[in-house]
Amino acid sequence: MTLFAAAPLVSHAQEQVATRARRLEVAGGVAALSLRDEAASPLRYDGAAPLLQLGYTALRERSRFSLRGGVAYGSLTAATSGGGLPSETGVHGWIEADYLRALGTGTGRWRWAAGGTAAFRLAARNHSYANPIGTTLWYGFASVSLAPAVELERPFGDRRMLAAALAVPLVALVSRPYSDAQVFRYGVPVRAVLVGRLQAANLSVRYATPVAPRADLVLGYRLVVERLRDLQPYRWASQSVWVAVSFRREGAGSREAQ
Amino acid sequence: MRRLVALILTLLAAGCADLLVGPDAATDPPAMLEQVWRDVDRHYSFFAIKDVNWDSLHTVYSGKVGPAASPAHLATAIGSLLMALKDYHANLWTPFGAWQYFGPAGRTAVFSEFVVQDRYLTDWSASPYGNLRFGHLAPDIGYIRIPTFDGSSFGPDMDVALRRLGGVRALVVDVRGNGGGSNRNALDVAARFVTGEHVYAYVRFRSGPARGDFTPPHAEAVHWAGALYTGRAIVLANRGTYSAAEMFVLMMRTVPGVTVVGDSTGGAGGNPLTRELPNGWTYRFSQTITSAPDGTTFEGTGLAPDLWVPGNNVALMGGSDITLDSALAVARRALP
Repeated sequence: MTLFAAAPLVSHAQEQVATRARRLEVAGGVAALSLRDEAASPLRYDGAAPLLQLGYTALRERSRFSLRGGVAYGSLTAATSGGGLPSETGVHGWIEADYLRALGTGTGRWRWAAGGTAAFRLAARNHSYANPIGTTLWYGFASVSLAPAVELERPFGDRRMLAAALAVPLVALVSRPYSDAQVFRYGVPVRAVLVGRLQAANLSVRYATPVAPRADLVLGYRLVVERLRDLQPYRWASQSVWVAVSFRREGAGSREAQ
Repeated sequence: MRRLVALILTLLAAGCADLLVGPDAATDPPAMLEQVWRDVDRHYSFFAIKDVNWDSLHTVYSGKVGPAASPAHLATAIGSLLMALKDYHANLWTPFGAWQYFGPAGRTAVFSEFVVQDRYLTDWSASPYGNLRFGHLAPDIGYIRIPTFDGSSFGPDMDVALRRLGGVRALVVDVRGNGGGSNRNALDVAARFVTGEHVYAYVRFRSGPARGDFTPPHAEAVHWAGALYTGRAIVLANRGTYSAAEMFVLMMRTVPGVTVVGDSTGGAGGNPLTRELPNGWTYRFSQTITSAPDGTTFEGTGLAPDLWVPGNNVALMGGSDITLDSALAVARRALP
């Protein structure tokens, strides 16, 4: 689950022409999670988890910097689960920063931007096994990744905006401690992996519409996929939908689009 | 907007988990047997100690489990395969039963909590969290019984027990028949007997595909915490003392003046790695080698006591716990 995404898309038509603006976004939603961590089990675990995400965006005339942090918490079960066992319960957190610059004149119906995303992601899970002695072990997966990102926007006027973004990490530092017994003794092992070893992508789609002079309502969807080719492969997918309120503050020198 | 919503719903409803993370592993019997064999081959820690030809066992058992093998037959095959390791921590749990190795035939672990309570103790209480039972063997000699290291809050329980035992000058800590549990709980109990840091063991994890691949030894230490007991301590152990309870014996052996009385422990010197099969069955096996501070391992053989007084069933049936009798003699000799 590493990386993440190029992100919440951009903005609004108004912001496309503002020279400086800042946005603060609060989002809540639900994620459909699927996990197959063969360090813990060959079984696939699925479930839903509520999520909360905060975002900050600084907009310039032709660039944008975004910082987001979020967390989701939930329980996943396998096809063989009965009476709640076996199960995976844990927290998934992420911090992402991306920088995008507009491509072309930015005056057409479709607007392109490209840049990069740096992301830190962490999953810490308790795996409860279905045995009579009640074995529960801790497993983790953490990554810091760098990804090129591309974004496509379609403004509709009246500050409505549809945008999609895609980021594919090329390099990452990953760690997957699989038992606290080992981690407490030897620390957390960290490895550098390239795109061939870590196959990941982050796709997001957002639709924003104004609800107040300085606030927009944002509906979003995001798909995060991560596969680590390892002795015991790790596969993770998250599909999330959320609703966000985005507050905008214009900076000095900004100008409103009409 | 309608198109966006339709797209989102389509993607979510597609439930493309199979596509994204892959389907569950195959549940055919040969594949599951192979998974267990390969997991053990890759992660088991005691191949150098156990007298077992793991490659040969692969040939034997893979010939016994065909694609049409019944679940019960598969369970028996996997259970038997794991039992060949002769390891207390090599287990299989299935709806058809559980497999666990309790040492070679002829080993006995004689103990009766009823005899101790009825014939030896003058009073008998349970600790607040229920982990310990304690009382007095004599006005100056206390007794703490730890039946398991499963559970939590052993530290607070020890503090209460020591306070209510009222400053006894000798204390018998009984871990006979204690099958283990969490090392953390064993540490919480032993922490009441030590000052400073006591290295009680070294642990190595299997770390690579070769059967000799291990991490460097890691020193395991117990540190003082909670109420400190400074009197004479005697630990009772026997062949039913396993795993975390053996770690406890190792911890207590570092305390000056402690005497271990009874029989050798069971000999389970590995931390288990737990895994699942695609049909939900659970199995585990040792992934570490634990050594005493002098470098000796005790897997299969156990930790020898300072004073060897194994239990005796005949005496026990007559109401006499000869191991506890010996511990009492040691305690009385230590008292002025």
